[in-house]
Amino acid sequence: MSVSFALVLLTLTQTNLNAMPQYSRRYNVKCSACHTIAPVLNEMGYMFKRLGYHLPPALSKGQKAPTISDLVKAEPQWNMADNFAIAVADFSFQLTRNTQEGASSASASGFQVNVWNNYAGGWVPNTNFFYLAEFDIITNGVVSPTLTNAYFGYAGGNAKSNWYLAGGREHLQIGEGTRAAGVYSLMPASPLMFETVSPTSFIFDQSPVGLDAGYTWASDGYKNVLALTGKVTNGDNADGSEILGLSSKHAKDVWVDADWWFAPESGVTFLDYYGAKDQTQNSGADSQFTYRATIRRQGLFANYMIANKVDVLGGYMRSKDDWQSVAGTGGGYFRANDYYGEANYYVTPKLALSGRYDVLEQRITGGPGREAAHEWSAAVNRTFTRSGAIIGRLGYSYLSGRDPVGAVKSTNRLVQADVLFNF
Amino acid sequence: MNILVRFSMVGLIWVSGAVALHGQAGQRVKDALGLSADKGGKFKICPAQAYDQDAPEPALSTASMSAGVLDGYRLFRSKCGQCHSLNQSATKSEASVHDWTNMVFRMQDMPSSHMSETQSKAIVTFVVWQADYSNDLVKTLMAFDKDGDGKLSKSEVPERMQGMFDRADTNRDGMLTPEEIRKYAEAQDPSLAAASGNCGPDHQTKK
Repeated sequence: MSVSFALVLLTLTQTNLNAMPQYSRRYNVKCSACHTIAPVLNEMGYMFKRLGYHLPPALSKGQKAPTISDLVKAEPQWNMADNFAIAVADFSFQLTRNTQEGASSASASGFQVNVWNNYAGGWVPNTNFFYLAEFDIITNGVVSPTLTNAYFGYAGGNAKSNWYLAGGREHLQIGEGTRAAGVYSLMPASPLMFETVSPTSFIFDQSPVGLDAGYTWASDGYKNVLALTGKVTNGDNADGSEILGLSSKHAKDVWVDADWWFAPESGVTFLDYYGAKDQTQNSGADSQFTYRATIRRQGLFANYMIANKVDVLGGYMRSKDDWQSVAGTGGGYFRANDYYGEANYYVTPKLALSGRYDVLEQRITGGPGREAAHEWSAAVNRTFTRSGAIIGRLGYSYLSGRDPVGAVKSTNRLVQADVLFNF
Repeated sequence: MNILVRFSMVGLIWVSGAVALHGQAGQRVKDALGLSADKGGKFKICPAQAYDQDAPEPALSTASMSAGVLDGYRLFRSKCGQCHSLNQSATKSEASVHDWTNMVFRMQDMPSSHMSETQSKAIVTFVVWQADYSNDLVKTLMAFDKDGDGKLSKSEVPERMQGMFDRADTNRDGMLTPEEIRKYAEAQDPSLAAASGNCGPDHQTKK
């Protein structure tokens, strides 16, 4: 197990989420209309998605809120170019150094096309239906064409009180949560909290197929926004293969989150996840067996924006998974507590400095006890164009910790410089 | 490694093409937005302006601004600048003070605006000042005289202003002199332009 943990440290990679620049072209606004610095969403970007990919209108006191149908009628004429993004790409240089107890240290460096994604998204002309498709050609430097997201939805109500229902293939957390809970980050490398670090290989941001429903209420001037989201999903191909690596079938999961945005740009999110699946242990060995495991996650996240300059973020996530290493020994668990604190200082709207600290405490039945991993990260983000479509990022992170099974210590240092294109 | 380099080159070529596509977007949006701003009188939305977010912004001398205008200018850059280029106000020189007040206060009621009523008023002060500034077509257009010959050729004028170039070039010599620009400006009827610049419902006075 210590080997697999070390591999996780080696493969800390960028979460595969980016800005979608076709919307900027459609409305002729800068990327920063919907992002602080892409891909981090602001409240406008959050509401844009909740309204079925329509720009949120002004909500003035004493005026009737336009319906979603009104927003549809006021949209610019639909055309292909404003609904597709064909070159969301990330060119990256990485320098890493890893150490592990009992093994010699290893360093690696390289330049690569880290990400090349294509998006189609928007509304079906003259209807309240919306859609999003994401086709990834390169992910983490590997050419691997994948249809990551593909779903249709319908939005109803008005700008103050609206709902949506969507179905298809959708990452659980895309566009959900306030800024502290989002997987979108100013860090070039994905934060520890949203990585696969548990011995049960649970992937927090997974991609099953299912149904998604949400309700959003906004006050005048969007001073307060309350949103509820629920998702019920089945494993890809209905066999659970993407829920857990060694799963075979019967994977199900349910996700609920409640978001509260309060102006300007602050928010709180609570989320609750429940998953169940048939877990196969000791695959291929004589001792192979299968048991029905449940997976639980609860998280509380918050951020507070000070003077539109300093964004202070923090979060806590609790994990509890059923765990059996030997057939017939029920009652085992993997448990983890994950905390983080982060501060982003927007020196100008085009330049941000970030610092972050993550700590992950883990223990597992039969293991040595509570073991912890710590990660320090820092990053600089700078947009190079007025529109914000080209972004340079420089990041450093240091991760050290012991795995909860063998208590083997590993460390990872990562320097990453990249240029992100959103066209 | 060769594969990485190859994909890097493909990516660069791809991105170059996409940059060109992005540059044409402003004009395409302008072409696409032949839509009415008034949807049955119930709800109006500002059509996007025909400018590109990466286009050079007009040069403004802060030395010529009063303290109030300068305050509004800084707020415009930090607040409105989150979504809009400075061209947004420069290309709407036909809007009246009433129009600007409506627009800015509507923006205040958008998510992520981060604008207080006091700040909105200061921004209105600036955009009205800039609209007057932009109405001085001679000064605005002659700023594009790159070769400094005292005349404007069509290639020196931004694409968004070339329609006006043709109308102002009365002797059809392909060059605009300051006198031709002045005559063109005097021939305009600002009341017609102001009427067409209204966007969105009237702003309700905030308490």
